[in-house]
Amino acid sequence: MTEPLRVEGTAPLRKVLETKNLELNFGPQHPATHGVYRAVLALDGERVVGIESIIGYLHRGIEKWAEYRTYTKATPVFDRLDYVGAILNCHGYVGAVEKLMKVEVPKRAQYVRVILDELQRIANHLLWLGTHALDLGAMTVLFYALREREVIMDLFEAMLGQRLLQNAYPIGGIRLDFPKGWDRACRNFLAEFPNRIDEYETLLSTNRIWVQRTRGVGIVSGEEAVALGLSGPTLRGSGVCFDVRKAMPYSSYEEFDFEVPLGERGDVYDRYIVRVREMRQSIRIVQQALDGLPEGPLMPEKLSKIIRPPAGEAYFCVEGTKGMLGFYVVSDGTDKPWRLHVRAPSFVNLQGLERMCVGGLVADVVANIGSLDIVLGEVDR
Amino acid sequence: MNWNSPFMLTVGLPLLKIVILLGVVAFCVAYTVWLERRLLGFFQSRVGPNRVGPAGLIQPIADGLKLILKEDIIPTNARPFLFRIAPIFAVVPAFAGFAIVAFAPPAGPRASFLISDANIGILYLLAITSLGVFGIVLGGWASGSKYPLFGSLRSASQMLSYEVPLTFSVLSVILMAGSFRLDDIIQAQGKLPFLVPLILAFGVYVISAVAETNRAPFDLPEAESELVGGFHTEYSGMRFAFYFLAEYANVVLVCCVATSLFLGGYKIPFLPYETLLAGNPWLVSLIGLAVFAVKAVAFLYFYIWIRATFPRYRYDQLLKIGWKVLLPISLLNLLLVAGIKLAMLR
Amino acid sequence: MPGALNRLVRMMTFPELASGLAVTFKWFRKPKVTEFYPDARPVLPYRTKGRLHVEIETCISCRMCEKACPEDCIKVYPPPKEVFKTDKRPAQFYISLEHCIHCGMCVDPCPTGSIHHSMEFELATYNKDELLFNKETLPYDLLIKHFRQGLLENVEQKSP
Repeated sequence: MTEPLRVEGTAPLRKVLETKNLELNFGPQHPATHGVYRAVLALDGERVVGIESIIGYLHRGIEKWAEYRTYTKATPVFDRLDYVGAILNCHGYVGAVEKLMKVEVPKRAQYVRVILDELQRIANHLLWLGTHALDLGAMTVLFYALREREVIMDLFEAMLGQRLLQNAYPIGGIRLDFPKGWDRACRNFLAEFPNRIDEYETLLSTNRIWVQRTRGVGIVSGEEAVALGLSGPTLRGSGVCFDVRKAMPYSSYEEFDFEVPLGERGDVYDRYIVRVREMRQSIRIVQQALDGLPEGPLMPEKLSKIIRPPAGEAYFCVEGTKGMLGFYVVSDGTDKPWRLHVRAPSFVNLQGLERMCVGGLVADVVANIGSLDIVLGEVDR
Repeated sequence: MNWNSPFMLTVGLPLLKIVILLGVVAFCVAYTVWLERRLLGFFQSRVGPNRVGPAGLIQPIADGLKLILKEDIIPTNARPFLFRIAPIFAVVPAFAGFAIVAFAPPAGPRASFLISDANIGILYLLAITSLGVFGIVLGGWASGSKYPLFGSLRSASQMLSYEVPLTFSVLSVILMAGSFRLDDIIQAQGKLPFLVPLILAFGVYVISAVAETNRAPFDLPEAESELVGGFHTEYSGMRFAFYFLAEYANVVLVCCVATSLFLGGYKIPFLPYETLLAGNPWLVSLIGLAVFAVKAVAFLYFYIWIRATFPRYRYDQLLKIGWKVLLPISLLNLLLVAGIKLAMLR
Repeated sequence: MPGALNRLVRMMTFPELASGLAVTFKWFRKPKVTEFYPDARPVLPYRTKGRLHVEIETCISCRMCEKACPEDCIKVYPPPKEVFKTDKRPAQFYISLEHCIHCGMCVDPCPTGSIHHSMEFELATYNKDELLFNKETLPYDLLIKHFRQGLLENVEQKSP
């Protein structure tokens, strides 16, 4: 018998037949990554064995930028963090500064903020629903969702003058009251919108293709979700009941009656259904706020024009559209923040992606990224 | 010119028909694209293309012109020869399939509306349409890029898996009609379209046909949200237009075949207009053509409706459905039809 | 067993897929929501933050807007001191729409209401220089009269 061919100092011939993983560049110009997110996938056939997130393509240095502006001037730039949920970003920053200055926001302003916040949440979830469905091939839902989002945009435009980056709140309260007829237009929308959600659910929730695509995909258990620091609907999809609006109520949220929808298994379907149910809860909140809107001033009476908070620090978080959106502001007593940090939920939630994707297929990566609802403006900041 | 000379009968007339058919099919395919975009728009509560010409009717021409005038890019990593010929591999079978489709009853002994009255027509069709996968596989492999490779691999396995149930569902039609000729099959549906007795086979055929033509919800080879453009990611300009043409020609072909096999072709059940108007063969042919077109467009509408409504299956789920659901059903159906046929013969 | 049979029947008859098809067909028959923008002009609400518009005649050159602007796109040149005593109108007023983010923060502090947003929203130009508006071009606002009538009817019409 002859020995297998072997040259001194090299691997045996059998070694040549071993396969290696395929590296696939997923993004930054991929249609399903919702922006300039890039993932390097290690693939064994179509199965994902490794995923490496590469971010920073949209880094604009917003936190640093804000340190060179006065508190007032820095407000509009935070709309550019999560540009599909701009009002909530603005609320987070403004709230942090108000906390730092110990300013009491008037009751009416708080209610108006709740109304606009929740409408923004619906608008964000609609855009998310449309793009997530488009990622999984159901393209009609995108157009239906954008159609309804358009109405909310019109409401924003009538109230705040802008559709996307509204620069909604000044520090201390709100700028202007509702214009004439806004209340009625908003109520019309709220009355019709649940029927539209039913339609989306008919198209997706019970559809066997949708269920097969999302059930059991990207499972994250509750413990893992907490350990990874996930928040928002992504966390609640795993069955962990944590909602900033309930846990640490701000802006009078404790006065509204709403539920926190929870998932059971922590898969893509649960994260989807949690967001859809959240839209229904948001409708309830807006209706309650419209009904119980108190009269009163829009801005606190004692507020100097130049914002100069006392030296100190404040952390204020709101339930953003993507999760817990926190603003940490350190003041040294001047009119500019000494240090400002944003706890961006998209950025933290992105950590869960590896846990969700490894072991799944390429098509599941798309479903998982969609279910995280990342916005790259917020990830990269 | 002597139309009755053997040369004209065997070469000239078929050639003329082929040229006419190619033109008509290319036109139909272009307007299938228009119809799809328009209908999709309507389903999605928008209007679709409406800027070029009235109701956007000149849009396909504008698109075609744009694609022809675009730069033809061959990526550095591509294998240039295969890259160039792959789209042709895709487009030729798609058009060749139309050769045996009987669009209308013949208006005379030499004025039939099909190019080749092959007595194994349906077998030819199955053979030629499965050649189309070569264009996709070659194109994806020759692109020298990873996304097209994935697309072509998916496409190869998808087409292989769905060819089987498709063939079995067609076999049951052949059993019912007792012939491989498409015209015979249509004649056999004079009273009742095969849709009714072969509803199972029709279902299998529709699903496999959607999968065969790589259309939603089975459009995995070109799933734009996963594989960017699938096998044609690297293609541009004229070569991309070829793939596009091939895809939609396949769609039209599948609609025509479904019309012939299951919806009764140019026949209208309980209305034998052919015998009523026997004295006027051209009128009969025209009515037949119109009936055929209406049925085919109705099927096409359904196709687009499905695309507008459903999400996309995943790769493994798709194969699972093909092998574990459709194949047993089609086999069962075939056994059933064969048993009934046998019992009737006794 | 009935449960399994029920499941089999449901699997073979696609009831939920059919209801999905019904939804798309419902919208197929309904009127479309597409707006034919260049042909049909949109009616914008009153608060729309379009191009900045300055009434030079009422401006008192206090430079509050300049200080409030987060993007530093406003530049006001007050008149010389001897003129200022009698005529406070600015000698020159620049707004660079290249940098303007339409946030509306210059409008809030203006004591005379001279600076405000117009409803002019088609701001694309072929030349960047055209985006630098000055004293002569800033008050040019033909569209505002046309749009002011629209107000909120637009929102009410479009809500479902």
